[in-house]
Amino acid sequence: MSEITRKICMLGDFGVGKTSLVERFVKQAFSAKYQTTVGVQIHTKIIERPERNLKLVLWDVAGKNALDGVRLSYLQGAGGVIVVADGTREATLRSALYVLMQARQETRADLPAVLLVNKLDRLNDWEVTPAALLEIRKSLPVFEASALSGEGVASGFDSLCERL
Amino acid sequence: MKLPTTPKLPNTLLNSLDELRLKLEECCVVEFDASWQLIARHGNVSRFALHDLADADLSQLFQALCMGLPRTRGAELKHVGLPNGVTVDLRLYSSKLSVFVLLVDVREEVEKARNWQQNAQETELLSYEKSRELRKTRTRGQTLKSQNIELRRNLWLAHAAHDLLLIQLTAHVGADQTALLELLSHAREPLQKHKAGSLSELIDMLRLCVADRIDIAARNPQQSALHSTLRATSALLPLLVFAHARNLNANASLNLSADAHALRAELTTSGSDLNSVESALLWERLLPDRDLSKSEMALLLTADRLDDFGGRTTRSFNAGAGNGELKLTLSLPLEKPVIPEQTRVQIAVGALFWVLSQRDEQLFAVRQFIQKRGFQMQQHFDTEAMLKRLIAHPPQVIIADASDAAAVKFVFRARAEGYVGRTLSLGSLNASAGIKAVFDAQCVQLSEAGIAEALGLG
Repeated sequence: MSEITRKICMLGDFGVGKTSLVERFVKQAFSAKYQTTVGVQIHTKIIERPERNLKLVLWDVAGKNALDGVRLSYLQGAGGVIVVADGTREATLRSALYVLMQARQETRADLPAVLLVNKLDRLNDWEVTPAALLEIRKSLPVFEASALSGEGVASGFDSLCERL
Repeated sequence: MKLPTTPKLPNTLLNSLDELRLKLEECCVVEFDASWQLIARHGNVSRFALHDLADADLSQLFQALCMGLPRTRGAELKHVGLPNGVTVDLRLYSSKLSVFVLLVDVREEVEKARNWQQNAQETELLSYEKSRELRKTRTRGQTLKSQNIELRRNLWLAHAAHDLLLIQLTAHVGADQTALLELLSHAREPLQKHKAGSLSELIDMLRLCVADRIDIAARNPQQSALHSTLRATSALLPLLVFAHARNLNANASLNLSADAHALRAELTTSGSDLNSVESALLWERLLPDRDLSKSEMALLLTADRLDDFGGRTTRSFNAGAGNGELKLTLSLPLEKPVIPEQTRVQIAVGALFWVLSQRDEQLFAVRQFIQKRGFQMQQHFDTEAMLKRLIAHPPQVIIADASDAAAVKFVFRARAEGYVGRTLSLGSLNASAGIKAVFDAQCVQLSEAGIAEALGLG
């Protein structure tokens, strides 16, 4: 069966769980130990579809609250982005929205994107308010997710795949 | 695959190798045609773990990696972690027929950066978590503080209510046993009526109840029964507060009876142990150093409170295993209570500190200490006038002799009037829980260092 390949970039501040979300999505695995990413880490996953399989090339970009020249270079050819925020750190939500704005400026204004707000398993510590997410949902698909439990992860990726 | 002995590489790529001071043997070049079909692998292919990858897989991998990169000039991607675990800097070159991908091994450089970045980010994340804990603690602390002040204020109001009752009832004469029993039966009402109410509502109700009892007692001429009534009501106040607190998450019942010789109160509680914020605050605040369960502490508190009023009490606790059932039986002999005589208290008054004591040496030592720090103090004896002054200009700290009834009574009354500053006891607090409740700290040694430490003045 033939397949189409799409490049997806994972963007967001450091420590929000981008790598963990990719690990959960690709390998169904989770490690509690924090492992920082330097540069970019490439992963692939094939989504089986009736007509044509979709091969996702996931670019797990090192976290920062803004995209510098090196990070912007990783965006070339991206079919979509997943911006990630940490629900327990409100500032990371602002970073996620900012890097999305930068990414769209660098590539194209209608670059498909979803927002994954990670660490749903620590809901008691959440600083991101439902009201804030409600507002963002008006312009961007938002998924509360937990790389630890897996909740919301597939939904977020699937949602982006539908928009590619 | 057969490796070409003299690879034909574009000049731009060879120039890059020169700039990077790399030989082809130290890096790897993968050559593809325009449709990403593999043409050749050059250089140290095994170092990059690309030697055993099938041609098709290699084509797919690099097509994905170079997706969107411009071929017309030497596009570069830095620090790319390949799925096979190798981290490379990747540069793209093209000639008329081929696409060349230069891979430079940067694992060592990336590993160093990773170690540095890992430490920096872990520290920042940890710092954030710590500050979150701190923020939570502060918020909780503020909540507890406000609840604590409210709770203590209610307790002081309760104490003040029966202190007031004490003073007013002793000015009247007598009540008969019928009136006493009537009092006791009425005393159950607040507990039933206010089962789900707030503690402050309960206290308000108790105050009304006390005022009502004063009216009854005032119309009754038998003094001995009046004293008993007084003690019963005094005993009931903490019992009711306790029972109310228990009712927040458990069942509590209070049965009262009386004959010619004694009053009896039996308090039974069942269900889970105290865990409401209100109750926890009450018990932790009043009896923090006793290694007892909160329920036991509550009962001891109640019993201690009864002792304050001169009655001889017998107590029996029955802590049921598992279900937390507790029973307290109080028996108060009907005889005249020992009521501390109302005496004048010496009050040394400064803007920030008030010192209350009858003992000259105590008063002198503390005044000396405070005046040495530049605070002026004046001597006063009129407690009523000083109470009014306290309401208008409350000091930050009241220092009182905890063994002096008049000084303690003044502190109680100050609390009842809404004084929320610190109170410091002079001498060890071997007092009842009720008295301990109104002091924030104690000054055990009457020395300069001891006073400074207790006042937190270092």
